[in-house]
Amino acid sequence: MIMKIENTTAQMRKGILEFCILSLIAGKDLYTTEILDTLKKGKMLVVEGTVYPLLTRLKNADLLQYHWKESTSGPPRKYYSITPQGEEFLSELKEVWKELNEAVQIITTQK
Amino acid sequence: MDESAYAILKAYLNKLELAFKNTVGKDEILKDIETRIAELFQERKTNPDYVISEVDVNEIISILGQPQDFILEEDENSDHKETKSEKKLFRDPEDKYIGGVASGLGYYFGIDASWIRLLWILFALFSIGTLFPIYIILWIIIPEAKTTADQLKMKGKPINVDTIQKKIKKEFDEVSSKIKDVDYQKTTESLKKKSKSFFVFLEKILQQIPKIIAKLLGILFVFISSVGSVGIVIGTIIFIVFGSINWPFNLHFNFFNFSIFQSIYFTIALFLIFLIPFLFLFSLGMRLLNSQSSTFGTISRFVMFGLWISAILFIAIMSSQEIRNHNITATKTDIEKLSIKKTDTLFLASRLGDSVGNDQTWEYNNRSNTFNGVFGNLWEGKNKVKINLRQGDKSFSFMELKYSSNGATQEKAQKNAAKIFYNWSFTENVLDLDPLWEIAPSTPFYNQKLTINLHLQEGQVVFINKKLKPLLSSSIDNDQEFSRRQIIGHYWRMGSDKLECLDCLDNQQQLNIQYQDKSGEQKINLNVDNQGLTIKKK
Repeated sequence: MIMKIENTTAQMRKGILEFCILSLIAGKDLYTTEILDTLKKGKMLVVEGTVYPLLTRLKNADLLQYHWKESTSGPPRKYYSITPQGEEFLSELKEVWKELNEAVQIITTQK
Repeated sequence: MDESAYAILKAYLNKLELAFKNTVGKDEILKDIETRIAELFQERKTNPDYVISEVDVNEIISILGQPQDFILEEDENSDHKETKSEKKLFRDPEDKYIGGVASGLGYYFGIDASWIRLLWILFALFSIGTLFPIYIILWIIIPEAKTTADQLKMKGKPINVDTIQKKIKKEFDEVSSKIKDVDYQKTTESLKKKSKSFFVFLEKILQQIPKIIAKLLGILFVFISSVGSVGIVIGTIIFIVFGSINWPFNLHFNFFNFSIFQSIYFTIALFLIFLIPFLFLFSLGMRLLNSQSSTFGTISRFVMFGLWISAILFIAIMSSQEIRNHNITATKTDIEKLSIKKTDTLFLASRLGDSVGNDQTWEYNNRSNTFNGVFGNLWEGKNKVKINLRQGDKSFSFMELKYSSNGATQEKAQKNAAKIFYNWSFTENVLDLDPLWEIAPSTPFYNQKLTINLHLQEGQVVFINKKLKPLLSSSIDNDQEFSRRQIIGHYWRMGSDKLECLDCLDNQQQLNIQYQDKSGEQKINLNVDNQGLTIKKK
């Protein structure tokens, strides 16, 4: 089987994406476009479409919730906020991320 | 937005819908994406007259990405998803003769559309056009595959020879790679692989045969059940609308005397008894053709089965009640003395009825509808009198009228028999017999009968009018051994046990004497008959 670099990077990104989205929303309530913009700025996102199924999945898992807010320009916006379960989940993810980061650091710098 | 941009966007949305088909929260995701697309359009629409072009749409699509780029996480079970992805029935606008129904059905069942068309033609021929409305209904019900997404759904993954072949090839490859993994000697490896693969291949082929048979059976079942159901429906309609026409199975109904409601229930029950098995057969056939299709839900299946059982019970109960009504036969006998000298001729005639004196047929039409059965005139000719002639063993002649009827009990049967009304007269040596007996209208049919036995004293002369021929019993003893056809139109005298003909040609006395002399050479033949006396000498 031929390994494609795009596939691997996409898989890597995707794994971290949930983590990123949760920590973004944990900071403050955001609506979808804001999430997209921040992620794109951080080069975490290639195509926007990826985010929608993720958001829905996190919401269905009760890690996120949303409410509608009127906007000054255009239709009402969907604002996402984190739930207590979400916070718990996020802190666990942070823990794992730290460990992974250190482990990868150690392994990749060892020669 | 211009047209081509709209088409691209529409195709994209359809593709997304298909991609998220099995994802939880599909509608929400799609709605969010649509909102985002609207937002992106809004950004581009700098002035109110701006027309969104193909370029804009393509840019937006590239921002959002193609579905295959963002549902990677479900990769592991995408195989599973693919086989499970449901096929939908569409009409194909790109391959059609009339409405594209055949090509759509073809995709659905994985059969070439030509076969479906052939079947349509055969159906149409056998059903003499009754199938035409079905085509129209299908045409209306089945949506047209307008978009690419529809086209994909329509084409789905049919279970056909091609996919079977692919499956075989896949498994074939798996087996061969397994063999490759085992470290054989290089020379034996290829040989073994080949032979083994061949048998695996054969096995797979053989495994497909039941599937092919199942498909053929499926087609057969669907065909039979469709034709059967249509036939039953049409038959029932005809039966209800033209119920009074003599219909083959009116014969069975003859036995019953139902009220109008009873006959409606009876018809419905019969209809269900025949229709429901066909519906099940149809469902089974569809299941054989496409394992995912289920024509009826569990509840409707149970309801149908329940209806069928109750229809059978209903008919059984009604029939047994009817049979009980015919349980017992009772007979009421009237004796009427005929005051006539035995040397006078008793004339049997039929002047009472309005029958037409044709030798072969009787015209009952005006008076025969005395029963009010299920459907009008079913009792035609049932109320015909039967006439018998015999020796009376008495010093006078008399007539015996035997009224008989069935009934649930002796009492009821007698009552039914007593309702028979019969018209006859005896004046100036003429016994006038009505060919038909009658009964009050709306009296149920209980196999009522009237038999007239004429007991003649020895020596009584009798003449039978030819109009009575259809009424005569076929077993009237006479010295000529005549059938009833021959008995009429002659003068008879009652002998000691049978009728003796007085004017039959064959009955003339005949004397035949043969004389032979001693030498045996001279022969005299003397014959006396109705031609006179003849003497022959040899």
